[in-house]
Amino acid sequence: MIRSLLWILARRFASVIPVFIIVTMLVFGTLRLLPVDPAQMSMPPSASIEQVEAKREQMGLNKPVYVQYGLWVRDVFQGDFGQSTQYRMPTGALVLERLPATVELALSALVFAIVVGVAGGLAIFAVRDTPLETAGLVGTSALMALPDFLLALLFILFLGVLYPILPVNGRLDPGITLESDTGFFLIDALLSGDPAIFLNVVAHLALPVMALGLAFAPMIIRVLHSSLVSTYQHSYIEQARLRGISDRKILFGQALKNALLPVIILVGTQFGGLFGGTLLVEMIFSYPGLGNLMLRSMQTADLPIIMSVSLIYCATTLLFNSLADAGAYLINPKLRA
Amino acid sequence: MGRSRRLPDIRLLFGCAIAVTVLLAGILAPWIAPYDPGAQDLLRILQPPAWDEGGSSAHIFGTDSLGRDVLSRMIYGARTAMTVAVLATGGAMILGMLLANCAGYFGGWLDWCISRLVEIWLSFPPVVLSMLLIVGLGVGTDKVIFAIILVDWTRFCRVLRSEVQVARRYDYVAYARLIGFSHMRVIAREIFPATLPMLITLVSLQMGISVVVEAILSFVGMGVPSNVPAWGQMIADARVDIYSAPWGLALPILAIFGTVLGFNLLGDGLRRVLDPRSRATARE
Amino acid sequence: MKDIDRRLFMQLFGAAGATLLANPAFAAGGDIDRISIAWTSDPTTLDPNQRLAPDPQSILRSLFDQPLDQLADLTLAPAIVSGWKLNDDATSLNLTLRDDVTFSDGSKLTSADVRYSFFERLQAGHELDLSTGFGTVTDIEILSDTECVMKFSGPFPTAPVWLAFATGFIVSKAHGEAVGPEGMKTNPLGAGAYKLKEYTRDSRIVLERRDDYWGEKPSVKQLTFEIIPDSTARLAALESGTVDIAMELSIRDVKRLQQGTAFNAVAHPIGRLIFLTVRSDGVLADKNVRLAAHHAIDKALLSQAFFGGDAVTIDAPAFPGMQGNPPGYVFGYDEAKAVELLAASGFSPENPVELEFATSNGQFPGDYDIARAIVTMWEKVGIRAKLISITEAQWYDLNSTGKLPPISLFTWDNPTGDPEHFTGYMFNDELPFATFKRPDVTAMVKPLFSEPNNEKRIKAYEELNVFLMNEGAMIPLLQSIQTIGFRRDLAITPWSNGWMEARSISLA
Repeated sequence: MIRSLLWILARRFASVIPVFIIVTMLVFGTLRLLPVDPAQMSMPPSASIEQVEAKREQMGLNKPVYVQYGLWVRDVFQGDFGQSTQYRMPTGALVLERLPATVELALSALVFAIVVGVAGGLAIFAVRDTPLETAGLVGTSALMALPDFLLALLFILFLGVLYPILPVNGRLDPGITLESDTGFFLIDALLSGDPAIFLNVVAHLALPVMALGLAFAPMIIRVLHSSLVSTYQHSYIEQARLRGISDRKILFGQALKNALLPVIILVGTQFGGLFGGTLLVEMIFSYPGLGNLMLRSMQTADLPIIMSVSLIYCATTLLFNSLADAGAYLINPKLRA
Repeated sequence: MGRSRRLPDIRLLFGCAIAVTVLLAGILAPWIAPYDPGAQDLLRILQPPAWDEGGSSAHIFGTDSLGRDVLSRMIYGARTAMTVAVLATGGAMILGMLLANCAGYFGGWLDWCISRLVEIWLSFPPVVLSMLLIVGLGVGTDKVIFAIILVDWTRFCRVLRSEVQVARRYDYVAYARLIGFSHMRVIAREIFPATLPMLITLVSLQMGISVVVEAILSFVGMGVPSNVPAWGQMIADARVDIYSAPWGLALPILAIFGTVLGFNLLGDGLRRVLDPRSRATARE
Repeated sequence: MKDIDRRLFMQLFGAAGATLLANPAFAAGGDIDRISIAWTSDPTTLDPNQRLAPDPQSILRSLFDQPLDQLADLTLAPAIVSGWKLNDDATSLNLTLRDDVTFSDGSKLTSADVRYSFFERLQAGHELDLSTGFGTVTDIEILSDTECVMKFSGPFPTAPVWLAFATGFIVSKAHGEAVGPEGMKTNPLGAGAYKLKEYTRDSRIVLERRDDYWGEKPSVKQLTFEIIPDSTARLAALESGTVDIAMELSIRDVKRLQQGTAFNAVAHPIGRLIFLTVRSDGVLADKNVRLAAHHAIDKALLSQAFFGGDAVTIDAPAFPGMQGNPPGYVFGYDEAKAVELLAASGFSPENPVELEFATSNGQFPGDYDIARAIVTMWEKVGIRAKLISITEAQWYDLNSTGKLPPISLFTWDNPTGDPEHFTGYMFNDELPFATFKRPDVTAMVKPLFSEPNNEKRIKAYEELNVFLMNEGAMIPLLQSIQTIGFRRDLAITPWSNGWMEARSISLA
């Protein structure tokens, strides 16, 4: 089974690679629509016209788009993602130093969403055929109408301004020093062995994670709830009941396992939405991750950074799609038969 | 059983009422808004709403950082949101529907190509793709509509394609082909009606999604031009004064929330009413 | 002194009075262990020669001392350079350095480091904005460890001013050659009062006081700059106690803080102008339109609405009390006059002149609101402006390619108070800042760059400013104010050029 799982993963990744290559072309092409001059922008304002022209030549900007794309690919294979025009620094390093922050935020939010979503779905299912079920579903519908960035703003309004309980910006309080080896503050804080630091990191993560997670959780609740409802219509549930197996055992033993399948597929296909949501949530909470870098780069037309960060977003989305496929296979190997 | 039958109707009616209200507010904005949404009064900035201390009935929802009437801006914001939502949803629907029918009906290499195209599109987080498009295209109401169409057609295409595939296997479709109807006619007369319930549901949900995307783009200053009132822009403006004027932020958030909720309830309600499969399960 | 008194005092005497004390000798409360400041933007590079931008100055100045310092009235004062002399035709500058200055690694600062910073780096092709000022350096002759002579390709009378300006910093030659131009951006080694302890880009910069600093030691032992771009979040950080000082708050929040008990706030004028750049071509080739655009703006109302009336209105590219500010000159707000001027060119509110108007959004508090208010003011007299928001970086890009909209809202720092940094730069069409590019104007400006007689130079700038205003060559609006919120147990001495340094902070 492990072997066939690996085989499926390998096949998925193989089919993802061409998709990713086309994505790079699309992003590259879209960004070339921009009426800006990267050569001019990478020079000091006092540079002469001749210097800028020389730079343009050096950057290959006078060549046709497909040649420029070729040059970009060549550079990427040498580990060079271009020079950021606003920082005048290599893009790769800039992006890498922020990547852990965003990954930490997105994964925390995902875990939070799954916990809340599964618990919520089970809870609403447990009270099925009572008015509580309807109330729960209506509440879920209402939450679904609040996208992550509005939740973030509401949290700031209520928990940051009106009743200031939780911190609303950054990853750590000033004055707290954390030796960061991994860039993942949760891990670094645990390694530091100081519970105060760890709590501080958690407090800073709380609101952004809740904003992202609570925007995602209602989808999980709904899918889990309706898939549990339809699972229970299968005859094997009834047979199990007749054999005298307890409701609890039926739910957690058999039914939940089958009902989770659509949830896993949902998480895999919709993770891109959550990951993209970090963009605005990071901006709203001044969280120093990729999203903030991206928005800032969009405002200053910093093409190499926009390009690299966009590709990270896409690659992550594709990765999670593939993982969901593999996860679905793990639960139900018959799917691929 | 009677309860679960009536309740969806209440939700459907509620969603319908909100959707109609917002649409009407948008259409009638020039007649019902108490002030010109762009009229500034620099001597009366950030007035609190009427129910708050220091508020006055002259500006029921107060004024913003340029002394503009918040209520009027919300009404005109509905106009912007609905313009974008209707046109973007329509565009995404047409594009998605065309491709879905081609892929689902003809199958083969066409299906393969369109499916790969959808797959490529789906590897972009929607927010990232819409912002990238705006960065490339520049700001403007038309650009926002265009960006939403280009991002969200896949939603229609994916769902409708499988609906079409199901419909194609129906006996009457095969029969229509046998008696010599053209492909165009089969799609228009036999397939399309079969996918209509799902289409209507998708349209309603897409209206809500378009409202959110427009708000996001306006919020980060990549949406409609600055002289066009928009909810996202109101939020961005009010964020600076969150301490001195929290209502300025809360009200447009409420507007977006209400609108999206309305269209979601409408979409869900329509699905329950129109889709035979979900009706079957509801009856059980 | 109560804040309200200080503000009144500053308004009466202009920015020159803003800095009451050059040195915080009153820091009698003793050392402060740590202070953190909510700051607006990341310096993006810790190479002090690299970027000609005002915001990072305070951070860079803490790490790298400048050759010269500035006093309350913006006159130059000795710092690392203890003596300086410009020769009569302003083509060379003799510098004498202190002999007790060390970099934070303990090595001595010598003339070789001055030569490296101001000459060899540019020669080596490092991409530095330093070239905007010191690009004319042809050589730096080293006479001894503490004496050297800067040579310029032409007269450079403002060279000493540049030694206290952005990019005018001394870096260590040994360090620079060891880490290379890329390393300089993240690995600073300077002669300032602080050394870098921690730097997380776009997040925080932690500085630690040096015990072997040559000058008077500031009272704050550890100084942290928390980078928080959003003004609301900066305020939240202050109110929640996560920072001690928050920069650039909205004027309404300043008033709110002043009324409370836990925090205090100041709003004080700094050497920064808010103005509209004007092009000399297209629809604005018509002088009537340019002047009408100026007459139609009610600057006092802008100040009232967005700065609580605290921002001083200006009618020339200079702030009150600055050299080159034409004495007694007023350009009045006059809607009727604007309508009349436009009518003479065939325009009216029904048949408006249409133009694009660029603005920044969020670069300084209120920028976007100001631009939108101006659009409305213009609409009344017959100018229909289409507002587009751009960033500062785009502004330079658009201007250099000739695509800048006819009018743009811009802000410009002049921490030195020399008119060359305002009028001179705005109208010398060889520099990237000029938007009103006309040969006759350039011909009037350029000689002033090399005029060695200072009195004559200042006088000429005064006359030139009047000429430019009557010509409608730019539209000055307000002298910007800096806002600072802080804990009540602290006292802040605002610097009139917008600096926020350890020496401004003391216990109340």
